Amino acid sequence: MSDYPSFTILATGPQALIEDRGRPGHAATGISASGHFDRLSAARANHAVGNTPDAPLIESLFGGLSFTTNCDTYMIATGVLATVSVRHADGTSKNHTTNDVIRLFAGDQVTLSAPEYGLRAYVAVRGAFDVPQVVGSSAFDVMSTLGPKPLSAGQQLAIETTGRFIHDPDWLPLVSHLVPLWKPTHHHILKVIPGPRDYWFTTEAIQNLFTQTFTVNSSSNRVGVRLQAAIPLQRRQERIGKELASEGMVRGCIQVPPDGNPVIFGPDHPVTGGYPVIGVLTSFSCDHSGQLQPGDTVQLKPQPAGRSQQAVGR
Amino acid sequence: MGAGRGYYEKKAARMRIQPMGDRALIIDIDDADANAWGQARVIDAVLAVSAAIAAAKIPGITELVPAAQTVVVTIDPNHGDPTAVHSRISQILANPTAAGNTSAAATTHHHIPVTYTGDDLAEVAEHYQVSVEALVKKHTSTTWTAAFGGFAPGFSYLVCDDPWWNTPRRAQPRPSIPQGSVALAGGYSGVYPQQSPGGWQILGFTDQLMFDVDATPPNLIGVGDLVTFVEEN
Repeated sequence: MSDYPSFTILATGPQALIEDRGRPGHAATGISASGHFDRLSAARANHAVGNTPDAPLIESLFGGLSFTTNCDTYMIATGVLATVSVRHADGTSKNHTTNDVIRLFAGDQVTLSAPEYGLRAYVAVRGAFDVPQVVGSSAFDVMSTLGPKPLSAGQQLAIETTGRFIHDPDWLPLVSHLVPLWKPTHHHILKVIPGPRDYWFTTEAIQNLFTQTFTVNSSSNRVGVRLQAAIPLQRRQERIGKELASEGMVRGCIQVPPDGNPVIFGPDHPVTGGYPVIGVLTSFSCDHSGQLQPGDTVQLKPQPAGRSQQAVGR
Repeated sequence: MGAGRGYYEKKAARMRIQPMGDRALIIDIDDADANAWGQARVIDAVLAVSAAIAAAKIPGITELVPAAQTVVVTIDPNHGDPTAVHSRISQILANPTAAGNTSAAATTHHHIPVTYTGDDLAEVAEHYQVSVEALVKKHTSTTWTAAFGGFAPGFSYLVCDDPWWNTPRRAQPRPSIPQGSVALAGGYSGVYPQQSPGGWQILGFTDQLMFDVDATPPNLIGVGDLVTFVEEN
């Protein structure tokens, strides 16, 4: 037990990462912006415990995260539907759920269960986690491995005491429970803005894109959500065997490799890519895509680009 | 779906700007555009366009990502209006300017020491129908310019003025290429900043670090910088 306020990690589940709002601005040098996958849930987590939006927190993949605290504080886990059980030093325990703002006391042991719905829980503590920055951010990028390394059992996570991530020193929780952001379901509808390389694909493929049901592959991760297409998306005849000169990519790009099974880019996507992008998820659906469990099904729906975003000819 | 009949037809319009989701735009640049911008090659027009957009200091732009034939512009809606950004960029594209000349800015000229002992030296020399010595001499006497980055932190695609350079990629990419590999593909030279898979032809190796997380900026080579390779023994 150290003197400074901290959590001691007992177990991490499949993966527990430190994330924040990422390191935008370095794409031209091959560094991805990274940051929270489900940005809305992360923002809500920080807001619920009175932190500023840039406070580093834990992104827990599929639960199993367990830790003890040596100080009194507040925490929340949000983004998924799961149980948060708290065992006190005196042996008594209490079951909370995700979306509860939970008052913790020194000696409490917290365990986040695997989620019934959703994939990534955002675990925020009042004041934020005190972790180093790499290239301006504490986000861990699974592709470049920039950032504080994934959490491991036995690790001590210091809690910020200087208050730089705190809005108001006199803060008390405004709400005791958040309304869940995402519908509890294993079948998801995601919105897609078509293009820019939709013209690489047959008319039938575009139709199939928006009518068929895709299945989320277990090889999905923060780099991309891999979808299994019942009907692989076919390129136009004249594009088969052709290469696209690598071009900049963004989160939410739906890239279609030659096998016709789309990949939806996540926060740690490669900065440039050479497979045609048939469409891009709306920002809201990007966050939603961070909550798809392997085996879940997905349908894509077109969302026309705004008036400002129409193709401009010369 | 609501899209018109012409939607999927190949668009003839040049210097197209298209949305890339709701927070980014992609600009396509071709040979005709290069002419309009007074540039010999598409890549030069890409950099001129990128420089012109950067110089305009449009609020809300978080990234400019130039690549071989495109520029991607990402927008933060909390700091700028995507509609306004799109309009402003349209204006810039409609007014080609030779003032977007990147060589006017102060750039760094890097001299990168290389031991030319790569596995593909002989094969590449054979492709160009020259001796290995001549190939190395040509590589070291060329002044390369960093056109754009992208595939990995610290990696820059280096281009030059000489159209002689056109190296085919390897038919089978290697699963692992050592850090510091100096390699060729198409009209590009590049240095692998970290061990990674890759399909470029390896000429040699350098000990010079391309990427250092503790440095500011972490990448050695910036867009527009000049590079000369120096043979080491």
